[in-house]
Amino acid sequence: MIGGIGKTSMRLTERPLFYWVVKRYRGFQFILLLIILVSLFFKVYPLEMQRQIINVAINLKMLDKLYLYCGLYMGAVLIGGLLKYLTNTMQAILGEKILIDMRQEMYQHMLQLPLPFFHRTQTGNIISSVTAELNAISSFLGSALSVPIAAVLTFITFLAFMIFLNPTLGLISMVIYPLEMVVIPLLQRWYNTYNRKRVLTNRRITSLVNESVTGIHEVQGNAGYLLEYNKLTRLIKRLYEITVRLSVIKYGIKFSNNLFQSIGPFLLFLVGGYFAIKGEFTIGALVAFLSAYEKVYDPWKEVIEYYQTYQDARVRYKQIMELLDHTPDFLLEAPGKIAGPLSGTIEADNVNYNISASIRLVSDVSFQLEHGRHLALVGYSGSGKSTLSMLISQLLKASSGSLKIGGHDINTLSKLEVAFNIGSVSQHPFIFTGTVRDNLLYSCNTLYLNGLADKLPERQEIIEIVKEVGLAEDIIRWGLRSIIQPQRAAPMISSFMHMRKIIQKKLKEEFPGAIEFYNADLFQYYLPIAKNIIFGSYSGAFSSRKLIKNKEFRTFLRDIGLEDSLTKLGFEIAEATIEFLGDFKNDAFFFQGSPMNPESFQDYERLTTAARKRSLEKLKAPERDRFLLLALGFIPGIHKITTISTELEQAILSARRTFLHQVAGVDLDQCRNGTIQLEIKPFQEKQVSASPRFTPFCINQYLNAHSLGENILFGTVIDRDLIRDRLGSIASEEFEQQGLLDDIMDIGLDFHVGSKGDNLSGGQKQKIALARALLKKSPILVLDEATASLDNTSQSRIQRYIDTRLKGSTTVISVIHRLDMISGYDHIIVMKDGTIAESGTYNDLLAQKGTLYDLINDNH
Amino acid sequence: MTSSLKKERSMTSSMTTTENVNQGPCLLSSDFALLRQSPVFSGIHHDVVKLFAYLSAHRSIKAGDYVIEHGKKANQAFILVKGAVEITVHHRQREIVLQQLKPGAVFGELALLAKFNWFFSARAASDAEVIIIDQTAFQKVIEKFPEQKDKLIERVIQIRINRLESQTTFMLDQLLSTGEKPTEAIL
Repeated sequence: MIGGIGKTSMRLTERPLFYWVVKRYRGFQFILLLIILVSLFFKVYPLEMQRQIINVAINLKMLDKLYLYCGLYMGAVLIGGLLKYLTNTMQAILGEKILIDMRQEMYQHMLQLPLPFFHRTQTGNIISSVTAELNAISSFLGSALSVPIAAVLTFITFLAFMIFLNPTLGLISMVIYPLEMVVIPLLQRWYNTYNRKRVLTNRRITSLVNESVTGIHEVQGNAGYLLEYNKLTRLIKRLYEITVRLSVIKYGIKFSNNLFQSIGPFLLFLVGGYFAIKGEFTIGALVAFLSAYEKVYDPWKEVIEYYQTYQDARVRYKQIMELLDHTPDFLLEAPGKIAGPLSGTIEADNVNYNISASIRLVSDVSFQLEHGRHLALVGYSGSGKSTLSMLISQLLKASSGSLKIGGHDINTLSKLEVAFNIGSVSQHPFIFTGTVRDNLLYSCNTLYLNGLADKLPERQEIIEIVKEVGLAEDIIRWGLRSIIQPQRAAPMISSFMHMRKIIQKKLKEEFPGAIEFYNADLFQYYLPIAKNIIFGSYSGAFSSRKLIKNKEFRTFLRDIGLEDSLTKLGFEIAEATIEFLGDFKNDAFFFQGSPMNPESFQDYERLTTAARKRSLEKLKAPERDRFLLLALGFIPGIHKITTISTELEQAILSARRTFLHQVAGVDLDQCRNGTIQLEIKPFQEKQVSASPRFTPFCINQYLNAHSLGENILFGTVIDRDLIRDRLGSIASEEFEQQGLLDDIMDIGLDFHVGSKGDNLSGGQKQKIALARALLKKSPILVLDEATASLDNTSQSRIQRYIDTRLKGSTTVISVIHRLDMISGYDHIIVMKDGTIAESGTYNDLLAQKGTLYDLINDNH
Repeated sequence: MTSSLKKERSMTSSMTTTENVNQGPCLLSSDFALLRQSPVFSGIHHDVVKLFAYLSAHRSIKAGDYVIEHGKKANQAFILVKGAVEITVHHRQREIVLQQLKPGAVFGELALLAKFNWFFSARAASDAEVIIIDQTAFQKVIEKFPEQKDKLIERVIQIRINRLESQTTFMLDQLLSTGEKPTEAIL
């Protein structure tokens, strides 16, 4: 899987470009070449037919011959074309195949490069080199061998044919080629220089954009737009200049090609015409000759194009390889050894780590730690404790000295062996895009994938660890926020409905004004008018825009006489919004009290004026619909811009009853009293293909389109702050009673953390990283200020877990800032300027009244 | 000068039309009426008051629930519409009532001007209703009406002074009624 062609293969970054072509898919390439050889015949044959048609068929006026030759001509052209089609496709496939190998191997190589490489190199550079720049190479790779071979052969074939027709003429027509062979490479070399500059500039643009995206907080915080803009402008200008020069040279090459190409016919007509007039050459032969000359130019052009793409690919390839030209510090798999469990003993002997000749971050560190003992590394910041912990977890390689894990020199251990035996958590752990579960199982998945673990942790095991690190409440909250797949929810629905009743009762007592519960008989002030009418939801994403296009709904609205009054309401809203917010239309903040969004302000301004001038009724249907849309999105409890009359409220309520009864086929009594109604008429949104199901807001109906939390709340939250914390705790209590807690946590584990964990707080990320390392159950655990961003309670909880559950079984090395957490450790090393200042037990060091004593007293 | 005048005029004209459009019991107009009576907005241009009415929200509070909790981030000011609210402080593990507020009273007004954590609590003494004005809304409005800024800030400070005076009086009265010598207690 890793390193496609075995252990003896050449070092990745030293491979020449052709290495990838020559060593791979030889069978495929051989067939490709065969097809090209066959197609050569079909290229020359039509020329011979041309000669025959003119010289034999036309000259001797033989119609049957004419038909035969023309048929043969066409057939050959057709077969030739098909073969060309086949070879082109095969070349593209070949290119992509090689590209896959190349990309996989380069990505593997890149991932294994030592950490300092990533600190030195800008991310954008790395990204563009393994993506866009490689893509450009692929088109070359597919044609790398076949095109030059085919072109040269075709060239020779046509040349031979021409010499066969007339040796003198054949040789004359070749005169121009040597000339071109001198001129074009000269131009090309010039082109290459600028191309190299273009690649570099492109990379700089990529890394600049990447940098500003990564640092967008800083950019926006400092309003650094102009600064970033200027940086980019400079690069874009440079790119422009380079590209212009490139074009000048490129089209210069094209021009000289064309020029040379037209010199040929000139010579041919001159000399060939002379021979034909003199009778030494037939007209048929001259035509065939001209065709052949034209055709001979094709392979020549191909060679030139090939030469250009080759040069381009070579330039790119060289730059990628230069970028990645580093050796991984450690092997992924050590040859001839099986990674297995080591004991947790750690021995350091005079370990040093330098980043340059003069800068030494860790110097002469020696210590011994027996299996299952816990070591705390403390000291001022910059004292080298983090670096030391990274040396132990093999993230950095010691410059000198020996570091032994379980009796083995760490430099002889492969990455996999280290991953199996050491779990590490950094201060700012990285969370991958994906679900919480994906992230929790990251380490375990790696071991499983490499055959080092027989199975992945069971659900129970994951939930247990999650509880230990104090993530349980968050996971339950994520569970509440999830929209559960209907199949998954099905077995639990009756429990959810039961909870809905209990929670409604509790919340009604505790916060009467904070939630508006769904009630089929009451107007809902915190639901938009649209939802007030249909009083239900779809399994797809709901939008008034979709609803308004639904014919069934529109007919209903018109029949019940609500369309006009709602359009009028929409017009009132538009009028009020435009007049009230006219001075603030550029500030979205002020639009909180209106269903209009700031972007459509000008549209509505225009529509309102038109409606005033003519009348609302005289507007075109789509224009009236805009007002209807506004009214359907109006939420009376939130949008203060206007108030609707009691009459309209009543009209909407009665429309709701009719809608539920007639359109959706919902029995209102059942809806109120809570018998589950299974048969609901499939009122559908026509635009959506996956026929979304309509679910009414009935007390016993589970709403598939809503999150679990919304389902058990069954209402609209008015005061979010008040409800948020309370709902979580009531819900956990109830889930526990229902025996559903683990199921809900299981659902919560599938919560999507967002890009790089953007949906998570710093503390949550840290807890996930801790759980991830603990789930691995490795004999050694390295914690680099792993609890630093947690609150006090969580910190002590995790410290308690480490002190009680891991003592004796797991060796723990922990870099700690909080000195009140270190009393449970067996051994303490105090670092200062990269060296060990003090080493001993907590009590001994305190009694010594040395550095640790000072540190503790400084802290207080 | 001219631009601010123009703005004023256009706002006034818009007000009249809006009022024409919304007839009947409109939440916006009733809030406008409530805010206008409040000491924070006395002498403030009615366009500004109207905008505050538009940006404010209502909340009902059950008797005994906290509107403001000591130590939490302050970002809203409140105007009591219905019921009674008690201002309390925590001192030596005891909650001491400093003042009881009646409808129309403004509290938490400092949150409009500065970022801090609440140094007192406010608890509903009976079922109550408040209008909430958000810090962001306040900042946004004074950004749009800079000429009203000084006056608004002055009002907030005046309310604060009145509160301080009445609370001090209240405490001193309490002290005196317990029979201790006030000078000693204060020192």
